[in-house]
Amino acid sequence: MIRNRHPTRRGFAKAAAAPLVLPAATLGLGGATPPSDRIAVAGIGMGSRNRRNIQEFLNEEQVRVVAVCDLFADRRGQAKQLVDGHYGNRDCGATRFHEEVLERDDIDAVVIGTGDRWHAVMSSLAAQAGKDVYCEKPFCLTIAEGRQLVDVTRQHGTVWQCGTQRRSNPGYEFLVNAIHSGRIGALHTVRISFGATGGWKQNSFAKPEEAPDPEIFDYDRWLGQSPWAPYSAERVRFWRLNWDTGAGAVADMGPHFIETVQWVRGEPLDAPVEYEGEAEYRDEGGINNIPYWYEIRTRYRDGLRLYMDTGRKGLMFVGDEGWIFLSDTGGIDARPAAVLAGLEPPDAHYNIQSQHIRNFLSCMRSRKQPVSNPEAAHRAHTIAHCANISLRLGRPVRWDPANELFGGDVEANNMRYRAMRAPWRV
Amino acid sequence: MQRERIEEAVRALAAYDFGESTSPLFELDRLINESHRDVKARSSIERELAKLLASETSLAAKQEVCRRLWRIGTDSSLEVLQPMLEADDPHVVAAACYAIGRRPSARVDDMLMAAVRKAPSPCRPALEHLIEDRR
Repeated sequence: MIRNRHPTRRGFAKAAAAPLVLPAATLGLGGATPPSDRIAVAGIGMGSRNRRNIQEFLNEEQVRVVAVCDLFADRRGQAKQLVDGHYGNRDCGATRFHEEVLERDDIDAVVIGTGDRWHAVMSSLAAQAGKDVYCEKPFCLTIAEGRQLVDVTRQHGTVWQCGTQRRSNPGYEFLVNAIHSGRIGALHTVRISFGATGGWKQNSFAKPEEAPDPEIFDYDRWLGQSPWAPYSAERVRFWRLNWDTGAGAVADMGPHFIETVQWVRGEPLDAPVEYEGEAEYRDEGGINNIPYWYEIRTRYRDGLRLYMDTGRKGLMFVGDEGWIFLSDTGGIDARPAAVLAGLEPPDAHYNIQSQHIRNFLSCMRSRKQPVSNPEAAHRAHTIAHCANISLRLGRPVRWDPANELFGGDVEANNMRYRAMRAPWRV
Repeated sequence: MQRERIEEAVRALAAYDFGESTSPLFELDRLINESHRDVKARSSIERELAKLLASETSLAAKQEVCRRLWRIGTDSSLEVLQPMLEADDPHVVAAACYAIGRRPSARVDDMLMAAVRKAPSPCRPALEHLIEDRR
């Protein structure tokens, strides 16, 4: 059903006001979506996180997962097994070449769960191929990469949703409503904590080794836009811990919570204008060159303070009459207790994801912008990147959200962009 | 900022290769951060980095120099980046492109245009992408 409209997206948009999907009951299907109306989906980057995403898509009756793509042969196999097991057949395609997925005109959307360095590049390639995209965060390594993706999706008229599933979580909506209804008084400070340093403190050395057969693991493609370096199993294992291949701890968790802060503020395109902080790094000089501990202080133009740190994972909103804390595992606490009086907080566990995926699928049909659309996601990621730039420079920086510039700060401005290793680009 | 401290920090970078500890480079990064308001020191650091880039050194060391020029590079280091942009090794071209990034400079734009005209085909996409991204 969806496939036919991609070649004529503009024409489709005009017709979007009319219902696209006939109620299944009228077709005598007892509420089921007719096969012709199912959204065909492929997964790209099939590690554990994206296998979980794909499982969520498999749970949606309106979806048909038709292909998986990964550079690791074993992950391709596991993902195909997951999909085929769900449908009871052997129909799911499996490939290491994303081109083979993107050129299939029977695929409507791709779910991207590659490494950070590939998110924006793959999203861009998908948009150019007319595919809608559900993409894991952090979706860009730099501020410029984020802006480029916003432009590409706009140019191609595709729907793109960032995998910041907390944005559609009923528990987070409860939190936002509680703050909006004045339960903690006037909001003046937010502290978002990304959890203990644990995994971010690991380290190793990338001793050059002979690269595997690309059919088993395609290292060159895995490296993608990152500066070339010889194969090392440890480099691959610890990719999140190096600026070349990952966006760092702050940008990994930050976009989830920052989107919520922006939601509370009702200004998804705004950003703090001042950033400063301290960080600690591993001192062995191995793969890990990102901060594993940090304390970041930012301030919005209207005076709201937004802090980021490595404390217990969750969000603390502080007003002049009380505070409310939402733990990433779902619990809500507040002081004074009257803040939550008469309210029944829903479960806010981070793994609640189906609403976010349904928002994406619904927007695929309506051609409306999803809640974590490119512009909103870009702005949330930008805040994390500004914080990282301040930490890397070891000094405060000032950000101009309207012009996306560090005013007069050449060094910080240089760090907004990074040339990619060809042929990859956004 | 002591000139000897800068020279010693850059010397440590000269010996670097893939897979080795980058801890000898930490002093250089400290110097770069500390010299934020010290134009003379910054200029001295850039000069030493440029000298290293012009010498016979590993690709890994060149990449590390370029990561630092990405932050602090000015037109002063363009002279050594030009032959890298015109190299026939795509990894060397990529390192030079990384160093240049989007830093505003009319000289850079001219250099990129000149390089792309001469570039062998494996090296051309990196230059073309950078030219487009800088527009």
